Amino acid sequence: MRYFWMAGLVGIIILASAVRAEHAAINLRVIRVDSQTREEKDEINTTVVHQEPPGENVEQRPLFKARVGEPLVIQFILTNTYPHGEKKDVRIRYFVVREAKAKQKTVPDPREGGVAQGRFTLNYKPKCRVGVRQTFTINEPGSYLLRVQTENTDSDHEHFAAIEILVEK
Amino acid sequence: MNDHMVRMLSLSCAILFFQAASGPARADHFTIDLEVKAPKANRMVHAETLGLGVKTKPRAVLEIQAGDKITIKWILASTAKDVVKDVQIQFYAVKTSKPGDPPPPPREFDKDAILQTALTMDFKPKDKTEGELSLQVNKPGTYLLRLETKGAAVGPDDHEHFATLDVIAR
Repeated sequence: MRYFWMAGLVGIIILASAVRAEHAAINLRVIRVDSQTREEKDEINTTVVHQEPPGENVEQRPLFKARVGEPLVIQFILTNTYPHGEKKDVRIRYFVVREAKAKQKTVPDPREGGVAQGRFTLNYKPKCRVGVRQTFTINEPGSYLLRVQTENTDSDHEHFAAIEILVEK
Repeated sequence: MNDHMVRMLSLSCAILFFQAASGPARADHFTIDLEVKAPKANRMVHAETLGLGVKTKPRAVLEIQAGDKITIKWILASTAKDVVKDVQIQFYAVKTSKPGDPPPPPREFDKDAILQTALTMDFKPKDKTEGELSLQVNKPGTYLLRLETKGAAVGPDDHEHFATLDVIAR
């Protein structure tokens, strides 16, 4: 009887870990480019993927400093690492949006104050990838959030990666 | 019936057979609606096919002002009867020297493109994928916008699909 309960407990742990399994690997970059030659100058990148809930420790969010009007590039590749079948109508959303204060915890609505944004809806099969490279400039000084996130994955959590952009005059 | 007539009849039959056989192979297996909205105008274009011997249409043009923010929306849906696996859907916006210029050669991440996206997906019958992107066009010039399939030309479907237009920023 004791072995029966132990086997059950192991089964529950395996099931729980499968449910909490990572669904996405994200390589997110923000790159400064030369306005004339379009050569890449420097960048901040992150491969740290957070789950929401619980969210991230905002103090550990990577910081990129830029100047007003400077040509910048967002680049990311998101790979589905969930191996257990296809999920329908998953959304991948990315945006650069102005924050009320630096490294704020609540995510601003990209429909208000969004500098660049996009979304894709697709059937999310194992190992499928979504990639974006987009040029943009920020014309107002302040703190901005660059974020790539999954939505509608039919799970108890979603995944995201984020970079803080501080724009100075 | 002399030899000449027999040869002509054989040739006509061969041409008819070739046309009948190539008809289904050219059937569209994806539809595309690609719409670009600017503050004062918008334009929608649809799928064309890219294959040997297929002529492309003159490219549609949307005129905007430099500095305008445009919204690009697309829906790509399968009308095939079978599953089409591992199709890559690419979109890009790249500056060209004049309207109607040919698209640039494909590269994984094109540094000349102001916007480039790609995703991979298996398409079962009636499956679709959608995208919505916002882009500020800061500099005057002509920009080629193009959504295209890669890897859809398999089996009897010997062609790819694309939708394209030129955006001219004054």
